[in-house]
Amino acid sequence: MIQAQEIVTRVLAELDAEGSDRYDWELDFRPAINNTKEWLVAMYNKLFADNKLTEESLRELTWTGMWKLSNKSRFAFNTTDVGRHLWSIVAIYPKAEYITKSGAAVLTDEDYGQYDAERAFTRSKYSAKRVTAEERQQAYINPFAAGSDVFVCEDLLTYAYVNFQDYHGEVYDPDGGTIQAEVELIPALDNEYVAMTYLSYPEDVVDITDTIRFPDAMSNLFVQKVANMIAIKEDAQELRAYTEQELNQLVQLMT
Amino acid sequence: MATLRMLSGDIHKNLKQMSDDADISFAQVVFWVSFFVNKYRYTKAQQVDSGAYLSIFTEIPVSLFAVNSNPNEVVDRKYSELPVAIYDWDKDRAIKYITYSAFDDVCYPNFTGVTFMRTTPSTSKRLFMSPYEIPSPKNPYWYRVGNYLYFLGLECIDISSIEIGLITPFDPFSNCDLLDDEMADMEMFEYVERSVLDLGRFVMMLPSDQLNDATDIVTNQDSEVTKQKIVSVNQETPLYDPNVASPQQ
Repeated sequence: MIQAQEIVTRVLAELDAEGSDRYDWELDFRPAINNTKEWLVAMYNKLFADNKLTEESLRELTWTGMWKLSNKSRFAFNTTDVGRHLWSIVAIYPKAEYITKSGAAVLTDEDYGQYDAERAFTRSKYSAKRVTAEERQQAYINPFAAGSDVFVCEDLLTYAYVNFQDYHGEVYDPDGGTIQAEVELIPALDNEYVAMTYLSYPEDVVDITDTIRFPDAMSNLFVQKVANMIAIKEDAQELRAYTEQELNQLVQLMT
Repeated sequence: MATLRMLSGDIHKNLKQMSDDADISFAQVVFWVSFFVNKYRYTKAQQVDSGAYLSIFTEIPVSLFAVNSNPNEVVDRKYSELPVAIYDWDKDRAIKYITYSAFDDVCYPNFTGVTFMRTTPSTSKRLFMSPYEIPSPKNPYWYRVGNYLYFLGLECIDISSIEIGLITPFDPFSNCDLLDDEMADMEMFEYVERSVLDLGRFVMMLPSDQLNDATDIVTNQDSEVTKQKIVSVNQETPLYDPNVASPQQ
């Protein structure tokens, strides 16, 4: 993780402004750091989409939690319960095994899937494959499509999940409208436990003592970008080429 | 020793190494493996007198249809339903035997009781012309109609069930244990693996510009169709041949 204080110190050194009041935390550094964080998120999204990096490379933002599915085989990512914002799903493990503490509460509501902070994932034989809303229907006619329940042998099943969709309507309102869009597991695993490994969206820094949940290897890139945003003019070159250069730099730093 | 899971896992991994973006599930590989295993067994079991692929089904009920229903369901004819699919060999040879126990005490195995002989609807009339062949409870016959086995000679007695010995296909989709059972005929692995990989290569023979290589740039070279290397167009991959000595012999 990168300390905001360290970024500030190194940018001041870069700008030869140590001990100067020229640059202010609230006016200069905080917005620049948060903008740099957003810029990095956009860069990572591009690299994930291009298969140049995997989500697991962001160790500081990777979490695994347990959810109990609803009787519709769905669960929602409730930011308040989890305490983090979701960036991206890395993997979903159906039929997850877990450890729990003695006296842990048993979730009894079957109408909506819930996050269970009192259970910790240990292992699962399965990993669900992401399918689009269109591909989900294939599971009902093609036994080899992910999500099909045709095979008797569990080892031959390929579980699948459909990404977040809001199913709310007049006849489907499992939690009084408070839950958000839900992930659906197929074939149905009603009221069973699943584990999800996900990337949390990096939080904005507020104070100079905060940390930024990005790998330490990002420090130099982060310092350069913050310095660019505050004071240093970028090289005069085509924006696309410049972005490509930054993407390559990011890949090199992460590998 | 090797299992179907090992064989399929190895092939799955090899196919993924050939094309890591290919969406080929483990179940698909097991499916491909199963039909080459069946092709091998179909050939071998006709040439070898072995009980390796014999499956015995006991207590198969003998029933009567209450009404006629086309096709194949004829009222008042005793029949049993084949419990599983079988290889379709000449003269229904996949049905190795059908018996019922004629012993009052069960000291002897069922298949030492009365054995059914095979006939067909078009040839069975001749049986009634010979006192030595006429269908009777001691000399019953069967004929196959689709998935049904109809009987001749049991019309005047009541039997509730029969025992059948069948040469059955390899079916890992209804018998999950097959995934982890050791495979008896390991000599077929080379044939099965090579055949599945060939099939996999054929399935994945796509223009490379349709493969996701994480780049937006398409060159002329990318749009060329990938061609499979043809080893021989005249010779099939050899199946079981008892006259050819294996390398170990």
